[in-house]
Amino acid sequence: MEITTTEAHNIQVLKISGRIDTSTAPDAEEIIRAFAQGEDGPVIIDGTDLQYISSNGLRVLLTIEKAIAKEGRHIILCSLRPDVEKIFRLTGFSSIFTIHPTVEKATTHLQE
Amino acid sequence: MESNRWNRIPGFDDISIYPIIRKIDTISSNSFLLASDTECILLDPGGLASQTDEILTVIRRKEEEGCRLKRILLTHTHIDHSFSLLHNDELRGYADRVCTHPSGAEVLRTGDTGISQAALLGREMHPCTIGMPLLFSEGYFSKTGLKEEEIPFTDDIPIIAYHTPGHSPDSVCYRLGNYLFIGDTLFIGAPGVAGSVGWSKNDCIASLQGLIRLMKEEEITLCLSGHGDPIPAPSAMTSIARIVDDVIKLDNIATITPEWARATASYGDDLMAEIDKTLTIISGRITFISHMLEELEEEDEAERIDRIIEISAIDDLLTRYHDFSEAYRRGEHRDIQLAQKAAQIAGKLNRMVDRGALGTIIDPMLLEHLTSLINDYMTVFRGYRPVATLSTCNPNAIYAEVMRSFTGETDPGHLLTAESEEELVAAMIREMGTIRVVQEGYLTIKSEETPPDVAMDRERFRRAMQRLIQETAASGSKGMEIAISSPDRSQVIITCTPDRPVLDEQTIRYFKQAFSLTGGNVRETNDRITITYPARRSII
Repeated sequence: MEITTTEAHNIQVLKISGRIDTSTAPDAEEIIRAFAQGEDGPVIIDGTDLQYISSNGLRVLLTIEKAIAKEGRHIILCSLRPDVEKIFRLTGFSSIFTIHPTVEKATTHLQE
Repeated sequence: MESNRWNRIPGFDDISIYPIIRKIDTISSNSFLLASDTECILLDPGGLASQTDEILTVIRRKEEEGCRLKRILLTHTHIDHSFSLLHNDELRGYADRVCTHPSGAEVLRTGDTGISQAALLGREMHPCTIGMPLLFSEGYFSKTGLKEEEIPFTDDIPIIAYHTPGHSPDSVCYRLGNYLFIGDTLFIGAPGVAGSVGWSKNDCIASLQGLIRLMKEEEITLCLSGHGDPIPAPSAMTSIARIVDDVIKLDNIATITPEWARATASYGDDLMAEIDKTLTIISGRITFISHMLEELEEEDEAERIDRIIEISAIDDLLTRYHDFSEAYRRGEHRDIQLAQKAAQIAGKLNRMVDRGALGTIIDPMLLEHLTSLINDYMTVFRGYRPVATLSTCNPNAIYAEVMRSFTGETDPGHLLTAESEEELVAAMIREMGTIRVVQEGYLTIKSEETPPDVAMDRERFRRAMQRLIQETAASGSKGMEIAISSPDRSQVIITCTPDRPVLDEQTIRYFKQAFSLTGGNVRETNDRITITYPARRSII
């Protein structure tokens, strides 16, 4: 798993590649949490190259979402691969997170 | 008894044993060295270079003390027991002192990759002519019913070899006093082992029964297995009696060939991907429900729900399988090893899922699906084919049943009739556990009014169809057409066409397998799955 920061329309975006599973979930949590603490506004995650998310991975996202929701901020997921987005739908997590088809659509939506 | 050091053998003042005990795998067996003051015997050299180094170091030290390696005994010639003998020059130098059953001597001489399992485990045979094949041919049977032969060791104490075919034709157990070296006896009924080339059900039963008699007759105290820890004789006898029962039930199992291993590994890999998905959904739903309950300030209930399934432990097992499977794709493991790993992980996962507790919360369709996946793989891994229970069914009636499972209104009864707070929370949890991804209008049906009845496994069809619809809907397809037709009334064709291809290659392979197990003939193009069933004619 690799997490990098990119910029889209002057907004910082976290790009996650590879797998978030039991062995990578602790690192993912640390990096996403640090990013969330260092930024204002929503935490935008580009999932173009996210190949797999396990239930531990879902928990990581939920834990961070709960922490930032207190400040009125949220995680926004973008460009999820169909097999990853399917997991969000089948677990009910698609009702917790906002999911956009692309990063561009997410940033446009935020700027509206 | 401690591994990797010399231990005294109780009852013998001048004989000691140096066991090299390994965890159980298919790479290498345990090895044992036995030494008197003047003679040393090696039993099963194994198949790992580091193990060979240790064996040779011990042998050299003993030689310095005036104790020569007199013999190498093989419990059988499977490559995990004999590889180092064939491939290490120093050990090969002792070939004139190797004892094994005459059929094993022939396996080594000809480099037989079938009986030795070298082909199955992807290892090379270097043919080797050994110098001391056991005779057994004299036909002497002890009271145990096993052919036996005496191998001189010290002046007073011989080692007795017993021919115990079954696991392989050349299997031999060796006894020194009350210690019995049992080779792979404890594994002969195990899935993925039973049915290997040279395995014989009748020989297995006769040998196991003979061993039980032998253990009683000779008051065996300890069994030293070819893999894993030594076992006190009473436990070993209980295990062997159970293995006899298991082996008696094994009929018409597949022969474990490299082709079988390849097909089983591929099937197991597809099913493990589906098991991973299903368990992620189940665990994710539990997390989702727990989160929703927290939001509703039902913290105690949220905690209880969270504890129903060991999410981290399950995730850990799934990750371990994934890592193993990746290493397999890089060529680091053989087909049989992937097939075995899938069975091992699926078995552990099966034991970790508390269906009773989950059944009150999670959609029963998911739990049923998980059980069926694990059962099917275990059936194939044991050397059988999953059973399709064919019955006469009307395709329209089954389709209507599948439709109802998606479009049926949720029963608000439980919520409305809940009389206590506990009942209300329980009803809410059930509601949250059933997540509907198939929206109204997703499915369209095109069917003849009265298609003929067909012979199919109704339950398997229902499960496969429910999963296919759920999978395509959740993967972003906006609709699916299901057509049921019977152009000439001799067969019924059921075609499922999502509005666009959304399934990956492995998922398609899984569905093709799942539908073929319903008794139909399956074709697939661009996610359009067509299943053809012969019409069942009424006999008047």
